[in-house]
Amino acid sequence: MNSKPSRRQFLRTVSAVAVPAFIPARALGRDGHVAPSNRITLAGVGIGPRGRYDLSVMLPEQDVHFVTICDVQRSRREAVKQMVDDHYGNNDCTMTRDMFEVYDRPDIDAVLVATGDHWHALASILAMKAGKDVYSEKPCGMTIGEVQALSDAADRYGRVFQAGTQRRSLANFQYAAQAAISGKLGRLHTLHASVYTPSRTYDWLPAEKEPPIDEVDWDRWLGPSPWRPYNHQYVAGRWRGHYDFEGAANFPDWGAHTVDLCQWANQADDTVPITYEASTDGITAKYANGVTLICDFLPTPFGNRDPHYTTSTGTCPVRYEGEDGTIETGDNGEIVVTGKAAKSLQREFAKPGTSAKGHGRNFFDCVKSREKPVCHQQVMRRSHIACFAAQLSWELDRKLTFDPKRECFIQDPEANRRIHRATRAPWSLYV
Amino acid sequence: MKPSLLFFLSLLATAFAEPSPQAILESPSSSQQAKAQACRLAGEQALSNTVPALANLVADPVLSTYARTALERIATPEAKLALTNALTTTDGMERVGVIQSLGALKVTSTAKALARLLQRADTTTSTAILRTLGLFQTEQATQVLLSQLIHQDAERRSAAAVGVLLAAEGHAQAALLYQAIAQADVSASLRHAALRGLILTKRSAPFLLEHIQSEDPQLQDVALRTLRDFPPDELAPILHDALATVSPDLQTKLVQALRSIGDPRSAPVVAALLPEAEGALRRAILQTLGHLGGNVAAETLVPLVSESEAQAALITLQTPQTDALLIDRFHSNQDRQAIVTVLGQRGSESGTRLLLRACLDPDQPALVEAALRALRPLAGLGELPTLVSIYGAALHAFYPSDSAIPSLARTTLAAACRRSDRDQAGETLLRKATAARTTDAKLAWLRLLAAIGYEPALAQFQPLIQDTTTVKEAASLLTRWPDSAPLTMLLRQGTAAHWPHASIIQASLELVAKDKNPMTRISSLKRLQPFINSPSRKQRFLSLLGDTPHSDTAAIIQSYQNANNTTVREAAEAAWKRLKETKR
Repeated sequence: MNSKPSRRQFLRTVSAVAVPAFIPARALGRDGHVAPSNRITLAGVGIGPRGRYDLSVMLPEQDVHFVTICDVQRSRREAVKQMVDDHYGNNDCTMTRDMFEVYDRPDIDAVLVATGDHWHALASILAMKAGKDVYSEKPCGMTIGEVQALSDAADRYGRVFQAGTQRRSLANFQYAAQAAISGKLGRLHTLHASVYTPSRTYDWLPAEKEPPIDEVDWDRWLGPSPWRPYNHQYVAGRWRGHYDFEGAANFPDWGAHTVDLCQWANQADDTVPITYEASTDGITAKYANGVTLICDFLPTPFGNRDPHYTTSTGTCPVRYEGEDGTIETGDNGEIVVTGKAAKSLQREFAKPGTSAKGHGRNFFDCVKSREKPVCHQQVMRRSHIACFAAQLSWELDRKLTFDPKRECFIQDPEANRRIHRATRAPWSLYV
Repeated sequence: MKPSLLFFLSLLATAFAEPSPQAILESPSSSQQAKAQACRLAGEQALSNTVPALANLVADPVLSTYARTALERIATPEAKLALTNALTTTDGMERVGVIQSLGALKVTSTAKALARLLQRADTTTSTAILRTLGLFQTEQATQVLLSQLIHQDAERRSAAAVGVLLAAEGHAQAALLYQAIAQADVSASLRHAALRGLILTKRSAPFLLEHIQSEDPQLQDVALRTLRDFPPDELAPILHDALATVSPDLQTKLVQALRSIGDPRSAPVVAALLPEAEGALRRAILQTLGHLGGNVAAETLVPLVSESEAQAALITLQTPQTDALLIDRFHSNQDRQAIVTVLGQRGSESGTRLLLRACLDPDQPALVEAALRALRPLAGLGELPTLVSIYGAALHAFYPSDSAIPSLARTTLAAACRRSDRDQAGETLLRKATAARTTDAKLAWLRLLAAIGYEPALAQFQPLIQDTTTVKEAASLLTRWPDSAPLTMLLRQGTAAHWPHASIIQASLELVAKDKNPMTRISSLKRLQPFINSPSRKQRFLSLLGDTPHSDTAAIIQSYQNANNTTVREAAEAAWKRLKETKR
């Protein structure tokens, strides 16, 4: 038989062991330490600036042990190893260019996927196929087809999957969603999700000589994306906006968060809007339950966000409007309430910001309990589909009608053609 | 217009028109990038006339993926035929890509050809073939897959198992397919995926329970993961029965599972485990009760309110009677501080009323502190009178000097003011400030008024900034103003003959920073300029100028660019750069 239990599972089966004369407190999980058998062994794949941020909030978790980094860029591998070794005060973090070396390790329980967007879905799928649980940065795929395949793989392999839409784990956003869900705003009629104005380029950057493979493995960096010549700017993070590396014209950069939050407020995690229509100001989508979702294009998302939103609420603002009032919040933690609901709902939050700490903690708790985390694959699937469908209405510049059950556009072959893209061989989403 | 002119114009139009995707794809002189874009357009627009050109590109190592995407999107019979033909005209990775596309398009007519290819295929090719056969979901393809499950090569078996998993989804005989994988010599991950599929396909709660209670921890793990996808109505009663017979470790997992299932019938079953439970099991029970809700959950959790897990559960418990139970317990003098903390988080009206009463209990300072903390995120206009009374009592030294109550009262009152109508809150506080008998008390009220920016209060500041004993503190309080409104009053304090106090200059500079209007800003800075003498003050002054885009700003900055002091010169340079960026 070709089965390799994970270390945690193996230790669980050992029922009669000769107890040594002395067992360090650390090994027994005393004095605040977590025993190794109760620790989650974590690996990282594609850890750049965002990934290092995620790691910075995950490393301090006492029951998590980060052991290895996989990245196709040497400089990034080394930076993460330095970060991890400094945290643990040792030299133990290993590095590799090849993700399969990570996925083949039986001791690894979970993987943090923070590659460029074009790798999110496939890296996550391969990890889950290998028996790992996954925390993936958003957007979790580049097309409707990718997030469908990702969600299906998580179901197929029964893994714990958390999308990195961490605002669902932040107190002020939770509070605002609860205000909408609980009916304190009256009948909900309109949701506002702030997004970037979509933009993209199809151009290739000028070709440059590929560096040595150990410096940058360009072929592996491309992965499932079609081949194009190397340019250092892609790997330095300036792949954004390029059609082959970013699926939806910048829309999901904030949209993956804000549309997701609106889905939640509308209790629509099991569905998506049925119509989408773009204008110069944004995209209007309508749910079957009559609620309208408006994705507002913000010309200066990091500057003045008036009049769409109250600028002081911060970045990634959302607003939920009901018959009895509205509630708005953003990354500054501020809650702005108007209407009849104002007095009873106004509240302050001591800890604003965009920290992924709580979201990571939720993931790790679910790795242990096998529960579904707050942004599990089904939640991710629907909120991402809503994002991509909205962006397609902008791209095609006309109204689109979507069937949430069949997950395709109704009598619209032009839109349906854009649901999938072929992947570069030998990479496939269907594993 | 003459026909010859028309003809000439149409020729011109043709010459300058964008070449069609077909033309680009067929032209040997088109660049790779141009062909890639043409492939994209061909697919998006389903240009069937591009199929022959795309077929030629399927073998191109650079453009193959672009061409295949286009063919997949065009998806006409001709496009599918082109891909089918490419099976024999491509090799290596390009052929693997073609096989992938045949799977994406479900060109099931190629099953036989793929099966033949399988016989001599390398690992990468055979993996692609087996995956595609799985996507076909036909009987013929499935039979090929099942035959490969016993292949001597481990990679082949693994790929076949993946194919069978794909084939099984929605298959009428899915259980048999999953059984085949579960018994195959393949990785644990694949066998467990099959077991999971089998459990869900059989939809048998006893079968699920059998695996939950398995001695094999891996199988147990699969079952625990899978039960979250089981129909909850069938599952909850089965798990209730199992709870009584399994180990504490498994009890913990089952209790967590009952939380996921969310069946309210589980509450009394889970609550019954509590007396004997400790550690992880106890925590799981308390969390689950908080999630399940209901009267049993509330009645079980309230007496345990001093435990942190119970507190967390009570904070989110939706059951309406929860607040009443907590208030009753409070009145029976039990767990008062913990209850105050929980009520503060729950934020109900009845809870808020109790918190206000708790703030007024002179004999329980610890309780008063807890209540003030709990009120801070909640208090608004309705709570203002009580909070004003408490703060007033604090100012009259009602509490010991080391008590935290005065500062807590202030911060909670400030929070309440921020959430209230500014004029109403301001009026209440201004009455207190006006009636204050001591300077310290007056300044304490004015501090709050400054924080909310109540303009009628400015008159109270006037005498204080003219008094040398109070100017420093009064000016410092004015910097808390949310905008630059106090600036006009402060700027009146200085004249050529009478320099204003240093605190006034300092406060003025901080208030200028809050003024977003370049015109009033530059006017204020000009008024202040004669009194800006120290290098550090010049540094600050220049920094503010740098953020003031006005026609007069440049000249002022330039006047500092030749200063003797290096710090000042550098500050002037930085301001100059900043000004240029701001203007841009």
